[in-house]
Amino acid sequence: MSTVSPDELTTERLAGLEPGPVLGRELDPEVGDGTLVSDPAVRPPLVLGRRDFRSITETICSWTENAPGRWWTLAFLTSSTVAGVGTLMILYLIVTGVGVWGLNNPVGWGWAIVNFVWWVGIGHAGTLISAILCIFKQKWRTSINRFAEAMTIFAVICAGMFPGIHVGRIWFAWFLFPIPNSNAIWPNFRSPLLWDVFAVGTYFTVSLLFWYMGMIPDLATLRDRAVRRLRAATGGGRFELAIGKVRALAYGLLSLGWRFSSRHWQNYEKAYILLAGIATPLVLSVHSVVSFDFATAIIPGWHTTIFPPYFVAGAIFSGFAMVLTLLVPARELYPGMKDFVTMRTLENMCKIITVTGSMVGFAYITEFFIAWYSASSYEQQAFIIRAMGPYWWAYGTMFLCNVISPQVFWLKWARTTPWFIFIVSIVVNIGMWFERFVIVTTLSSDFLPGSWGYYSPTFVDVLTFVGSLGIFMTLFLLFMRFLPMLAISEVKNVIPQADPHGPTDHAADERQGD
Amino acid sequence: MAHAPANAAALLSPANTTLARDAGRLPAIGLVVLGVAALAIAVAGAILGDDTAKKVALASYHAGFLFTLGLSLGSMILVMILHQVNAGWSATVRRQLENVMSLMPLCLAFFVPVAVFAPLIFHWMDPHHTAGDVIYDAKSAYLNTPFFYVRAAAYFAAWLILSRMLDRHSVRQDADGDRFRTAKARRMSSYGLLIMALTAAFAGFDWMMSLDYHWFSTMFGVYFFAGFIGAATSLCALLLILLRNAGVMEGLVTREHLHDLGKLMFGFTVFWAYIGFSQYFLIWYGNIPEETMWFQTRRTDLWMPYSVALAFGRFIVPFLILMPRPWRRSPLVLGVMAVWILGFHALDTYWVVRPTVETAGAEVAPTWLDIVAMAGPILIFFGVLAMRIASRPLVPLKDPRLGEAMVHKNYV
Repeated sequence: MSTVSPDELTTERLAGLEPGPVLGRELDPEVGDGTLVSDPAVRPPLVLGRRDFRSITETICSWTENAPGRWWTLAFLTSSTVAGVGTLMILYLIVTGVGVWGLNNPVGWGWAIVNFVWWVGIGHAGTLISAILCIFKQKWRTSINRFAEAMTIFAVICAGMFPGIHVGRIWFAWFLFPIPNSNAIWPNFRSPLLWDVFAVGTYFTVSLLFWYMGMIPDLATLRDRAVRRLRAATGGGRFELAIGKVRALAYGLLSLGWRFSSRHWQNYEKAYILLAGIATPLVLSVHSVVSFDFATAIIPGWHTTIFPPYFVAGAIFSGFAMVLTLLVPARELYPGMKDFVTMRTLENMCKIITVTGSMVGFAYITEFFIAWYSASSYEQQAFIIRAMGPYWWAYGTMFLCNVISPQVFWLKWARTTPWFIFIVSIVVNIGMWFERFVIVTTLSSDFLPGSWGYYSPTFVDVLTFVGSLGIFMTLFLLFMRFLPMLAISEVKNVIPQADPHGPTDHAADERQGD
Repeated sequence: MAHAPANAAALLSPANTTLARDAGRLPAIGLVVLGVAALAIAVAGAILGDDTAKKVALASYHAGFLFTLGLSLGSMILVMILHQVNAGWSATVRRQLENVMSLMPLCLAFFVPVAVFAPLIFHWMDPHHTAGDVIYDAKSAYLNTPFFYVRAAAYFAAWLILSRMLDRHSVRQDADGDRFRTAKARRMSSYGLLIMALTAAFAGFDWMMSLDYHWFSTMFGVYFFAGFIGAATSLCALLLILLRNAGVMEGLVTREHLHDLGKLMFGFTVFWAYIGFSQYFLIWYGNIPEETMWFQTRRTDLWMPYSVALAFGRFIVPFLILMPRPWRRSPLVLGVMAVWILGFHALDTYWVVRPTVETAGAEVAPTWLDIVAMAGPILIFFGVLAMRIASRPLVPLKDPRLGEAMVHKNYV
């Protein structure tokens, strides 16, 4: 039990006692970057590379202050082009009508609702990481929370697009909101579609506030650095000077007069924990309400009581997968990022994927079992058709991607090999899209075999969905370019130097007593 | 020990980590005697009473068994979760959960009468009930007597093996100090949780949902879990508060630990309400007779007061009381709320089981027989638990994360 915590080693080295090699590497070269220790007496370091406050600021700010690599320009051009195609498809839809989609009579809800639910689901990881993991004091979240929250915001934007454009007569899109129209007809408050507007709207607002509020100190850091660079600038052309001024002004406006005073920090921490508390039930409520869209309808295969928690588990599952899809490449592309996003962070996320994937699998099994147990022939038929009917391939894909594929993370190799994690994360995203597709296409075979039909998407459906991916990526690339991608102040908080009580100084705690 | 306080050795001395041999023996024996007496009265009442009295006594005894089983299952799941997430703060708390978990063999003993008299508890086992019932015929491949017992055996086998193995790692570590036992317990907890999820859910279907064998709800397994996990957390908090009052665990379990347990109690209270509401709400909204009948049974003049009391007592009251930080940190308030939650969890279990008793299609009002039959197993369980607590160290003495737990603080 006398193992020395690596945190203490870091403290000593940073105090200049022992200028040793880069921390982590010497811990155990056998396992990744040294954070994968399995000794229960050792807490692996959260930040590697002997980072001090200054080097954390320098590294994270450099990602926005330096010109982006060529990959960024290329990725931005590609994704904005794809986004443009998506926008054209939406324009075509608005000009022509929803007939351009593959909707037919039994399947009145097609890709639009599938995409909506998929995107909202993805938008769950950010708030889970920032709020729920914050409440559970999971310090490893500090290196990924900003990233995940940004992803959440952009995913919810993509999600919100689909209900807006699916209404057919776009000039009636305001019907989504509970505004009495000119005939004083109120929307149906007992419709879960209306609750969706409230749930998603609230979620978006709170997530945005949470993200922005958390970013204010970091924006102030960027502001101060922009001003300092402006003052120090001796050379440079007029253009560079103008850009510098715009930067300083923009960060200055966004940082709302933050001056790093201790009073600011005190208010900030209180506000942060309050917002985390408010955001936590929202993570559960949003997808529960989305699940009500289906579960309140008395359609076989839709009306089942496990839907709310099952949708929430699936949402966290897909959200974490999307964070990994973005994080694994970013970790390679940004210099120094691996010191913050350690192998252990990736491993933890993989484990959460396995847990939530297994929860989803548990729900599939329960649904199937209870459909049989219910002795309701419609219910049973709905599930037989799901698994063996015309959409068997979709059901098979869903099951394989969502239940089987995350089980590979039981192997240590799988959850500590970034390229492999990347592949599985994409597989999971595909699986979760198919889960919603399977649920929606349950409509194709309803009570009367005479009215059965087969739904297939048109090229407009496909390109609109691909376009939404482009919009998402465009927004995300802009975020990576212009905003602090990692929470600078929070990462500083979890390095050993930031602990005022220190890992070795418990005398003070003792005096305070119980 | 990387994070241990300077006086760790003194805190871990036997005087602080064990109960005196005879401490608490009297109340423990008293609880067991009371429980046995209650059961004896229940048995006498059932034998002397009519057919309905027998059914009432058995149903309430079944509810009592499910209550104790839930505490053991919940404690085991909590131990597994704490291992899985590498929790440090809970190292000094865990032994009490392990004590409750290790009473699984007692739960098996409580199950024996349920198994023997199952035909009087489960209507679907009664051929008079199921003759010509097409709905029963459709599900008889699952709901049949032999398979029922096979499943019960499988559940108990899994629970007994898992609880025994987890408990053994912890106790043996006290002796040999091998810190890698923690890693082994952690590895076990991974697949253990998977097994627990499936067995607990299906046990919920078998022993609670199938009491109304026409009725079905995919959420029911989760509802069972949501109830007992909160009760197990509350029992853990209550035990720690009582032990602190007995003058042990000084500096090992502090207000910080109670505060965190209070947070978990609050969280599981909300979780229970979320699951219970979602289940009720979707069935209410769908309004299909084959689903609503379960709630209809509990909405009669007789059972409605219990339903309303449950919503207030199991959710609204603890939700409001466990919200303020000073109250979660107060041993008095937290202890009262732990008893409160345990009480309402018992009511919840009773509320699920008991309304299924009927004579000639009419519901049967609660009687004194309900109280003794349900209290019997619960009192015996608590009595044996008290003996178990006194029989071994109160904390895992050589856990590698004891130091972290001792200096644990909630700063925000």
